[in-house]
Amino acid sequence: MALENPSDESLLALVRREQDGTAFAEFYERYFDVVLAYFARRTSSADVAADLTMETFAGALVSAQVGRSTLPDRAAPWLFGIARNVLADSYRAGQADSTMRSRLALQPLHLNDEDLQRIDELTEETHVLALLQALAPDQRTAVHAYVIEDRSHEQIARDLGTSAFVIRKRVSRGLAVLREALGGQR
Amino acid sequence: MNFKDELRTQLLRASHELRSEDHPARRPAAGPRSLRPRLLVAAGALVLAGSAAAAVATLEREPSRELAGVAPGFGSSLREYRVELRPNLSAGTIGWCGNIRIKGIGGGSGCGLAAPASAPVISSGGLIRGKDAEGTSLNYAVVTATVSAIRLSDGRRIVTARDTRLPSGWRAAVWTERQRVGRPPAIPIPLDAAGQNIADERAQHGTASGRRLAIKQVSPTRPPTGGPCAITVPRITGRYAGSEQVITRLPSRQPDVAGRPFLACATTVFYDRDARYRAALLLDARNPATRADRLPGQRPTKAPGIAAAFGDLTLRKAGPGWLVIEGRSERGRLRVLRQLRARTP
Repeated sequence: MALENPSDESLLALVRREQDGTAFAEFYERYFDVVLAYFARRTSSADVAADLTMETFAGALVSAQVGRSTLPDRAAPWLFGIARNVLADSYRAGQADSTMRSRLALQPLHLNDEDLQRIDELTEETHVLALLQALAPDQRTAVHAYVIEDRSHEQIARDLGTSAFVIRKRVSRGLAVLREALGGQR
Repeated sequence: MNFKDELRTQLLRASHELRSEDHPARRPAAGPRSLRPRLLVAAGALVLAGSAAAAVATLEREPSRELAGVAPGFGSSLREYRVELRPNLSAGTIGWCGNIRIKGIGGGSGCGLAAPASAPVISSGGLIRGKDAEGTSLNYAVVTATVSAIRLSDGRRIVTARDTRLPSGWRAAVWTERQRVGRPPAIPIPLDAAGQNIADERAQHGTASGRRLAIKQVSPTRPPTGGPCAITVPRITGRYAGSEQVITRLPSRQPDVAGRPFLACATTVFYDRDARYRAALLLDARNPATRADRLPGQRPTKAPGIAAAFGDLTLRKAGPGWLVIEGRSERGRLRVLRQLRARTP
């Protein structure tokens, strides 16, 4: 990885072009906490949140490295799109989907009590709600509508009287701020 | 290695293997890809911080819904929902986890530290359906006996109801609300019997009460004989005992907490026949030597001496407290709960 502080999109491009696992590891590092927090607040147990996080990154790796579709313009909304699908599949099936984990032959994670405690902590308001409140109002509205309410960029843009491009930008920047803040609390 | 590092290592290995042209993951997956969800889910529970929105003064009052029931406004049909409160099982913690689920839509949960004795709201949260310009949310608040009603940002007042499944005489309010896109739900305002606001200092300062006690790692199969408490996970073929955390000492003075919450004195995570379980020894947080209160939603099961509680917990008595287990199936929980041993103060 020759780039210095590459963008998320550049990292994904490296994963695709050079089959570069370390670029994906860097992408994973940036988003792990936010994705885990996303699931921790939407599932009834820390166990399930960990499994869904694993499935999401497994799906993201396959899609970025050997997927048939073009890489996304914006990495964060793309990743959360995968996360939402994983979550929806788990609701339908009544258990955490393991399709992508199985295809990559990933082994079940052995969580310890400290891991589970950390996931529980991510559900506390100090870790997520307060961080959301700390975003600029336009970013907060966009992130809340996109990530939490599962609305499309276009729907949000229509309701707020702006363009989908602007909303994409706000979501992306807001998530970047959250990501940094969560990462800094480790 | 923690699980974040473990997953990173596995992903790096998988990325390397994906370079092979005949890797199975390069082939299209069998079966149709699921569609983007039509409905989704939302805010976590335990909204204890932030500032309350200004309320419109009206006297419109409506009764609370039950903790479990059927809610309108979520799709074309009525939806079954469930609101539950359970103890926080993290070792050294005195706290609660709120959980709200709507059948066919999803659920959310949030854990936090126990509220101080003066706090009117124990736990609150909501679940939003998010496709409409103005979505519907199902919300709840578990409150102390001093709270007669909850005032919402639209002026409605939800009259709280006593529910025997909640501990310490606590009451609950469950309601549906229309909610504007992109706005987190306003924090409900607790009212006393005279209709006056009850101040909640946590809401003003954005902090929860309580703290975590010091803990240490011990062996789950051979925990030390010293210390306030421990859980022993017997060695059995097909079982992997991962970790255990215990508090290093009992609190030297009574904590400032509302009601009679539990202290998670010891917590262990282990794997049995590939299923993950977490067991915790819960004691009365105010006085660990006294008999602990019943858990929210606690009810007997067909198995002698075994109870079930909110949050899909299975439990049995252990000294003055409870040995509680969560995990995949009720049958599995029951089987392993019988095998665990607990040492209590």
